[in-house]
Amino acid sequence: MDCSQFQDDMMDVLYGEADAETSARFEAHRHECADCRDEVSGFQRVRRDMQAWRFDMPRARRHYLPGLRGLAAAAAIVIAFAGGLTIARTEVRYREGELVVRFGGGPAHSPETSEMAQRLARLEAQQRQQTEALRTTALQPVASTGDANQDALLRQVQRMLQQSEARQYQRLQAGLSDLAAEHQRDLMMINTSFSQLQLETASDIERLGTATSNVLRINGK
Amino acid sequence: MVHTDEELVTAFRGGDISAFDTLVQRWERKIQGAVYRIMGSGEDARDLAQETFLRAYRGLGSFKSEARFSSWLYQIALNLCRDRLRQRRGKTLVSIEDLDPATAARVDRSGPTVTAHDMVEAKDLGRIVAAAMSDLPEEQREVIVLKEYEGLTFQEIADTLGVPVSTVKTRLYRGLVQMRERLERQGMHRPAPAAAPLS
Repeated sequence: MDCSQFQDDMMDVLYGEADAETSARFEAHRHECADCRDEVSGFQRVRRDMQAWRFDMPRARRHYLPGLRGLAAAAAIVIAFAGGLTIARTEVRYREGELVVRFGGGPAHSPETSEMAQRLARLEAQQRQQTEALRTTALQPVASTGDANQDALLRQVQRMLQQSEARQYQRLQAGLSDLAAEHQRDLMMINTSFSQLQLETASDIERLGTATSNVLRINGK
Repeated sequence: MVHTDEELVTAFRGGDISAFDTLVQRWERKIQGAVYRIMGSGEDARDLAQETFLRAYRGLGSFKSEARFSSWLYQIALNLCRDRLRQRRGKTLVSIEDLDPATAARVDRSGPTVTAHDMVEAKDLGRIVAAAMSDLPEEQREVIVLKEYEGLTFQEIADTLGVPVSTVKTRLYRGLVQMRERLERQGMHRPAPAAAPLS
């Protein structure tokens, strides 16, 4: 049986574009042809499987700023972490092969803390400058085509792209502010937990010291 | 009030620039999706989608109102995809219609570099489908993307590609045959339903 003449009908019926005459013709053939019945079943399975290939892309960036989000996120994390450490009066130093972390114990403006704050401030300023430079570079004026109308259109398109980019930048900044505030809250919670742990440890050490003294005193008698 | 594409095109030609912005918002993700599935690359999808709208903006003045705006937009996107694929391959496409089906299946595998063999351990149906699609001849892949994922009618696909409707159906049929073979080879066979309706 030559089924090739029914291929078009099969596609129409499979995708719901068949009129009544086409449907009837194909159904009559399918009723008699096992190969076509098998092929239709196979195609239905394929169509179901193909729906598993999902498309989920982020919104198109209308500017070429590779790594902008990564740079901004990294800067936010560094700034938030530094801010949290500063608020929690935490000192982190690596000295003579030993990591030293002090919470709230040291002076508020120890030389090391001030130096770190200054370094972080410089890093933040540097990140902002680099981000601004990237934005400026990506939005350079379009080269003239020699046609005044074309140039006007291209300038209009560029303005639209710039407005879109500005909106996205504002949304990113708002998001980063929320992220920074959240990080500060998290760091303060961590600091509180560590402080509590310090107190408990100190209390335990004191009790142990008292017990040891008592033992020594008793043994000394 | 929701304006049709054609009304927005008319408004744009009358000087309403925001009408184009509405068209972009309406079609941006559809075009990105089509390009992504043809190219297999998110980066290509962003680049070519943006280029599609830039060309549409420049060319909207000469757009013929008898054609559908969406078909015209897809046409631009597909041409950009073909150009990009051609650049990567460095050879001229052979028309599938000139070849018998067996030979046609072996030529012009100009898709992304992901292969079905790479994905055989992935246990991820979506990735297996993507790999199988990437192995299809470009003309069959285009038709499947436009029909299966973009939901265009046969006539719309024919208008977009500039070929007869019968050619669209032939490419779709051959593409489904190859997809079925590839997926069944990957063990994606499922028991056929007892009496599945066709539509």
